[in-house]
Amino acid sequence: MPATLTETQMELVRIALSMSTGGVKRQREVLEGGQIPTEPTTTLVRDFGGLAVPESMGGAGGELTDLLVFVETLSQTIEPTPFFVHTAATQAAQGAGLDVRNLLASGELLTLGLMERAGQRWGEWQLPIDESSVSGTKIGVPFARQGGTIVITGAKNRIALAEIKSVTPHVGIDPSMQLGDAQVAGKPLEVAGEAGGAALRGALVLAATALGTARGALRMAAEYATTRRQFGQPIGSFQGIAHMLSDCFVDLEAAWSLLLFAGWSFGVGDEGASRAAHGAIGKAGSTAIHVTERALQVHGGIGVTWEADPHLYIRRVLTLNALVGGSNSHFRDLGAAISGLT
Amino acid sequence: MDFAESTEQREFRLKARAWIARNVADLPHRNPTSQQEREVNSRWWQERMFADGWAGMSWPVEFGGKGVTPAEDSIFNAESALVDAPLPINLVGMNLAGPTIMVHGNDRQKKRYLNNILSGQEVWCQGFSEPGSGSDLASLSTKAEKIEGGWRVNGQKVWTSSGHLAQKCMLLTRTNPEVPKHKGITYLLADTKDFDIRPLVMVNRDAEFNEMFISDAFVSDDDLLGTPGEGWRYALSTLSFERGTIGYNLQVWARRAMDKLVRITQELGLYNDVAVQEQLGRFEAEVEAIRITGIRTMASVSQGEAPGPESSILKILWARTVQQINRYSIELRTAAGVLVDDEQAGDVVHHYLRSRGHSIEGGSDEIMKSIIAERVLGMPKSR
Repeated sequence: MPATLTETQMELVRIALSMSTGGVKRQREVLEGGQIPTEPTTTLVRDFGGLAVPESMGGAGGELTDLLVFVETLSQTIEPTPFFVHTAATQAAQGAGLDVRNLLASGELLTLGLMERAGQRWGEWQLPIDESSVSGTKIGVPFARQGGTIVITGAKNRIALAEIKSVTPHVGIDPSMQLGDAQVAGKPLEVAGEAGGAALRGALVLAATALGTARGALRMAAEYATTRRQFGQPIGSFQGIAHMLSDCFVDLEAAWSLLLFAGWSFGVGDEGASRAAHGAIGKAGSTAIHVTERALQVHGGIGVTWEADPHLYIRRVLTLNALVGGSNSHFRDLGAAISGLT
Repeated sequence: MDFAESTEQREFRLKARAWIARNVADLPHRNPTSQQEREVNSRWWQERMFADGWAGMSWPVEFGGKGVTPAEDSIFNAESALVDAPLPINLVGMNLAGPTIMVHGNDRQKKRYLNNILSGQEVWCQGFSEPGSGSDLASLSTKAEKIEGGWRVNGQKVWTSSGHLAQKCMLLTRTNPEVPKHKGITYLLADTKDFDIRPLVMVNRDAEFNEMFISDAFVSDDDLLGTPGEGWRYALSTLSFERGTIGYNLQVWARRAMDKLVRITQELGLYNDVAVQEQLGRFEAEVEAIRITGIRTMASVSQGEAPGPESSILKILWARTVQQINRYSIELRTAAGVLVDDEQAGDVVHHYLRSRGHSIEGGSDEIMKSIIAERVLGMPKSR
């Protein structure tokens, strides 16, 4: 089996493309105060919520790379949907061995809580978790709702499924990523160790979402550069524009290689999987931000208006990068691991 | 999607590793300190590879190869790089001249040249670039006139790697100045014996490449490749082989630079520095991205897709990464980093200066970016 997309993955790409058509328009409606529409979320959760979950856990038994390919494509139109966070949370839970069967069967949306305070780095989790109780607050949790279920990381490298006791809602930079501080208390539903690797699995899904968003932004910018004319020619014929977009493409492909490899590494239980994930998440986050910013730049004056779409892409990737602790944190963890002395 | 090595590839790797280890131990110069010593090693290495059947492994069996996939080639190269084994002296012959002759040469030329390429008996160089024709290669003006029994060539070539070692040259000439520039080019398989070859000293004082002055050199009709006037098409083949080999082999060079940087941070006791750790992580991700993108590219090529702009992506990534790692390796040492009478610092600086050429040789970054812009992103021609 070679390092190319499988038949299944190519089919997933086709499905994701068709399901996400019109995503930008739906995101725009949410920006203007509309509700997140029920579709395609309902169909996504029903048909693909268990995409990379083993059959023994009630899933479809696909590979993690299948899910990464699916979300990377699906996210290219900034679809306003909790699906990305839901699958990321599912991967984190399942990666730690937490039982997600009932949750998957119920169709309930899961969320993922990783951050506890401003300036926190990846892995610096202090929320106390043990078999009989959890207690604390995760900040900036997307789609958190009272009574809902959250996957939380905590002290002593533990991870748990817990019920959300209360939510303090906030306004996030991405209009459709409803962020709030989620408070947990009392007895958790289930607890496991080895939070680090499991949470990285979830973070990979969010990183693939960010990268797909950036790919969508690059496509939009390339289209604009071939139609917008100045000095009598399309602005894409100027190397200042063309080469900038090529640089973006190079970084996107580099990040995509890292994500696919990290996903594969978790799938086969490779001992280097965590390192691979740190590199992939760091590269995806930094690349996604850079590319979406460049996409705005290509649009010139129109790019900085509310009515143009480039800012929607930036809002999405800034949020995703923040939720996983920021790319620098992951680069640092990778650097510390390879220098081998910490 | 599968990144695992097959059992066959794993076996091949172990076999290659054992062979390389055995032979590296017998190198004429164990720690070469000059370009001349490196070249002695490279010649010896080519002979050893040929004697034991490792030269030209991915060539078809009928031409003296083993018919293995490019993946095996890249495994051999990776294993070689891990222990600082030399590059074989006839890299240009094996990667560029040989494959070009296989595709476009006649039977007599295949017989005459291919085996000598693998044995290293005839070293090849690439007479493409000229002082007036760099990125715009097709504008070349070295002139070949038809005379009795062959061609009389006059002109000048430049940046000719291995020119000082070569007996043979892939020589692009203009034979018809009346037609559009791509139409009047003829590809000759020239002897270098009558060329005036002068080394060009690079910024690191090595002289890997040369300028070649050609006056009234004779090339026999036997050494005409294909049809006169069709040379541009054959040249594009050679260039695609060049980009192809680049793609598979770059990652090991980046890996070596990275490993060296990690050792430096450890020696300097900087491994707990947050800024250093972040930077190491960033570089490590790039080096891995080169490796994995190489695997993906190789996989799609071996599934029958033509080598496309992917090699341009790899080339840009590689050049940028190696340059940045080498620069950082100097900067980390601050003042001690620029004292090149120190052996270790001198080595790093030597590599850094050499790596400035990476974003120029084999197609400059700017040309690569134009290729990506036009072929992948659908931009209009930007020149």
